[in-house]
Amino acid sequence: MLKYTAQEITDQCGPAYFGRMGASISHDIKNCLAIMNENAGLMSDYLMMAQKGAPLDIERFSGIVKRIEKQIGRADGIVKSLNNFSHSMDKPEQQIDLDEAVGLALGLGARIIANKSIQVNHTQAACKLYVNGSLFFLLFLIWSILENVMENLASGAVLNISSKEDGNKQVCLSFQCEQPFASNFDRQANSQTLDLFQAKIVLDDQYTKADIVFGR
Amino acid sequence: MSEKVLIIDDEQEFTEALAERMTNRGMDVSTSSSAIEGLKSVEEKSFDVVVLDLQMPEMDGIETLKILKKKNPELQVILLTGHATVEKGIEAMKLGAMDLLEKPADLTTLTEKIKKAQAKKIILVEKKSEERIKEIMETRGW
Repeated sequence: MLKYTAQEITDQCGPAYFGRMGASISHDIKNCLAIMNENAGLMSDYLMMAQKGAPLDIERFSGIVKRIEKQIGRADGIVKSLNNFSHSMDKPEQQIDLDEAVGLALGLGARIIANKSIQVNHTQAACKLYVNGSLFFLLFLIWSILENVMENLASGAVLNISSKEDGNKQVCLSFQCEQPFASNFDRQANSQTLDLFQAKIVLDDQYTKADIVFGR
Repeated sequence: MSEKVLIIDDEQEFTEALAERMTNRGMDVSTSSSAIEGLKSVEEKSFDVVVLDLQMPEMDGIETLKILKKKNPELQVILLTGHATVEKGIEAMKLGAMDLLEKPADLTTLTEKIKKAQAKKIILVEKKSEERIKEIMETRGW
């Protein structure tokens, strides 16, 4: 069986994934800026009116400040995710907190998920679960499976993602939905990345659940 | 005559602030937080201009634009987007959008475009009325 090196997979898939996530993130940042821009404009309008003698509504003004602060926090979170994503290729191998990686992958693609009108719930494991490998490839693997799953889900569907340690003490990440999503699940698409983690995908008979089972 | 504007965007805090600023400038503004809700508003109330976000859940701006122009060809649509690609801009113009602005937009620029859009709509409605009168005159033979 032909095995691909990490570098070959990066060359093949890396730019497309970076590009897709970059576009999603920049759109979200633009939305934050647009809200801040309108609220700053609104403050300016009120100040202008106050200068002309209209009483300044302090409560109203304070509400606008809070909205701007909220967007600063939102933008800060998005930029932090972008920074973590940008550094995800720094180390070819590291110990990765699986739930943190899932959170990051979901945050990066939040706009794409929202546009598909699919609700994704992430339930973290009771204790920390770790996998070894490249963070970039783990993010890419999680996103590839997520996109594959979402492709077959109707608008309004709820997708549950959870991590656990199975009976064989293997770390497992489950994607589960009430409706079938995996009838044409493309196992080959992620096989190269799965190999890097010595992982495999296990599907249930109803095609409503896909587990990534990580090797030891 | 005040411009009747509908803003359709899923970012509610954006639509609220923009609507308030536009209202302060004398416009008659309504907001919708989804394309479906916006299409319903257009059926219930008459608008001169729709300011429409390009990327929204359920139905995107391009799809919404198609439906709006099909139902009401005189209605003027200005698209607002986080990332305006040349490709999307051309597609929107081909579908009848009046303009495409990138977020964050300058309110003075947006206001100018809304005023132009309202004037364009008035001309189109007047032209349509004239054609209708002409058609009635010809068919009735008065």
